[in-house]
Amino acid sequence: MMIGAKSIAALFGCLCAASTAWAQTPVRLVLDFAIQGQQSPIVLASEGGYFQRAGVDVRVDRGYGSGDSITKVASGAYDMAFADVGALIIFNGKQGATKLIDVFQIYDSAPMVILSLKKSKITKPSDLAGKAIASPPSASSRVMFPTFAAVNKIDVSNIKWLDVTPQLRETMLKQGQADATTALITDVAGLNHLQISEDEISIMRYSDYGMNLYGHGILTTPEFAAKHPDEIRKIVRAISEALKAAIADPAIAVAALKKRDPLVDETLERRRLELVVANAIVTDHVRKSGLGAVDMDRMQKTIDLIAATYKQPPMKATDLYRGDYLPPTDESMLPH
Amino acid sequence: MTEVRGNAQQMVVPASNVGWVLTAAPWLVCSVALILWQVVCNVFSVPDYILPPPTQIFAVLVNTAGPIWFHAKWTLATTCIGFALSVILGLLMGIAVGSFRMVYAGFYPLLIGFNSVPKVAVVPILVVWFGIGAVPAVLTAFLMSFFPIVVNVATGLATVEPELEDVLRALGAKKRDLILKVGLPRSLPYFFASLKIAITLAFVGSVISESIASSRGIGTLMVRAASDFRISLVFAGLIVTAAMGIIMYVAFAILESRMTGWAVRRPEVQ
Repeated sequence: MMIGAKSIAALFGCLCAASTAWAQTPVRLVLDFAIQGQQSPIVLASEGGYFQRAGVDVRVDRGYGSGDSITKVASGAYDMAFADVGALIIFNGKQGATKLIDVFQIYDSAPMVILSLKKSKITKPSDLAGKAIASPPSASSRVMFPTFAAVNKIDVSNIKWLDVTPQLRETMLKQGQADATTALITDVAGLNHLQISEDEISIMRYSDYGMNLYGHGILTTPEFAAKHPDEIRKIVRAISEALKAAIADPAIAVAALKKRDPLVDETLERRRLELVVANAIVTDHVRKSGLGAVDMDRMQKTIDLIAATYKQPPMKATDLYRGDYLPPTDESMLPH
Repeated sequence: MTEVRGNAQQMVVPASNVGWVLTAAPWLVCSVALILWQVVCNVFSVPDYILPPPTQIFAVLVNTAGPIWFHAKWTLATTCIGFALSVILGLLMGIAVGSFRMVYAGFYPLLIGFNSVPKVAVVPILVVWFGIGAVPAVLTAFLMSFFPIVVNVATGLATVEPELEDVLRALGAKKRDLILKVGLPRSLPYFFASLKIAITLAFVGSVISESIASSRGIGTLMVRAASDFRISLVFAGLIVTAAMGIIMYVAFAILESRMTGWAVRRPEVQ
C-alpha cells in the first residue's frame, strides 16, 4: 500500500491538533547537584504531591553544579533552577545583564565550608596558603573561594588546586591526597560515611570569616517570570510548604527521595538534610521573619562583596531578587 | 593533460592541479565551516555562553596562549606516553591473540568485555588507586587506545592466506618464521590503520581523565573555564585538542605511507 500525499497530510493534521490539545508543557526545574538530602524538600514537593495540589506540573532533574544549572536556565534548556545566588551574581555580572532572577531565597545562610582533617592543622583561612585543595570547579563553594580569599587576605599563589568531580572529594581528603576541600556543610555527612568521625574533622565556615552570604535559591529568567507569574507563585508556595514539612519531619523528605531513587542511603541523606536545615535554612532571621524572607540590605551587601572580587559593577538587589512571588508571611512562618 | 569523458560532457583536468586541490580541500572545508559558524552567531545573535563565534574564540586563543599551551603540553605528554604503552602492549597482545588459537579463545571475550566498560567510570577508581597526577591520565589513554590495536594486529595475523601458510610450512618454515617474516609484515597496513584510530582515542582518554580529576591538562582547563562561565575558553580548549589530534593523525599517516606504501601502490589512472 503506497502512502499517498493525502494520508501524510491527514497524519500531519492530527499531530498538529494533538499538540495544541496537549496539556501545558511541564515547568522544568534543574537542581544544583545530584539528588541528595539537601535537595529532598524539592523532591518532596514533586513526589509528595505538593506541586500537583498547587495545580502545576513540574519536572525536577538533577544538576551538575550551580554554575552549570544557571547556564542551563539562561540558555533555555530549563525554566528554573535551584542554585547558589552567589554563582548567579557572578554570572549576571559577567553577562552585564540580569539574565536570571531569584524568586525564592531558600538558604538564608550559604553553608559553604572548608573541610580538612584535624591533623592537617588548618584552623584559619591563612593556613590554606600553599596547601593542596581538592575541589570541583563548578561547586558553589569553589566559585565563592576567590571572594573568601580576598576577604580574608589569603595568599592564593601557591595553592595547589586538585580539580575533581564531587564524588572524589571526600576520598581525596581521607587518603591524604588533599589537605583540604571546599564543600558544603552537608559533606560532613559524606565524610562520616567514610568512617571519619566528627572529632577528626576541622570545619571552617565561610560565614564565620566575613562571608555572610545568601546561598541557594530558586532562580528563573525575567522573561519566564513575566510570562508565568501565577505558576511561579504556585511553585514557590508548594516548595515552601514542602520545606516546612521536611523541617518538621525529615523522614518524610527522605521517604520521597527513596521513592524517586531506591538506591539512596536513608541514614546518610537524612543527616545531610538535617545539616542543611540547621546550618543554612532555619536561621534566627528565618525563625523571626519566615522562610524566604530577604533582608534587602544584606542582599545588596552580598552583591557588592562578590562584584568587588570580580571587578564588576554591582547590580541592584531589587533587580536580582523579586519577593513578589512569595506566599503571605503568615504561611511562611515556621511553627515554634 | 588528462581527458576524462563523462556521459555527455568532456572534462579536461590538468593533471598537475589535482594534487593541489586535494591538499587544499580540508582547509577549504574548514574555512567554509568557520565562516558559516560566524554568520550563524551574528545573524541569530547567539549569546556567547551558548555558542561563542569563531572570532571570539580566536581572540581567547591568542590572549591566553600561555596557559593554554601549558595545559596542552601536559595533555600531549600524557597522551603520547599512554599511546606508546598501548602500541607496545597492543602489538604484543595482538601477536599473541592472532597467532595462537588458545590465546584468542581465552582472552578475546575478556578484552571485549573490558573494552565495553566506559572509561569514565574507571577513572575515579584509578585516581583512588594511583592518586591525582599523570598516572590516571596515562592509564586512561592506554586503556582507550589499546583495544583497536590488538584487534587489527590480530586480524592481520589471523588472516594470512592459508595457502601461503601451507606452502611455507611445506618448505620447512617454523611458526616463529611464519609470524615474524610473513605475518607481521603483512599486517603492517592493518596495524597502521589502527594507530590512526588509536591516537585519537588516546586523546579522548586523557582529556576525560583530566576532566574528572586532575590539576593540569586541557580537560582541567575546560572544566575550570566552564565553571567560570568562560565558554569561549572551553571552545578554545576543544579546538586545541582537535588540532593536536589532527597533527598526530597526520604524523602517523605519513609514517604509514612510508612504511606500507607497497600495500597501496596502484597503477596511475590513464
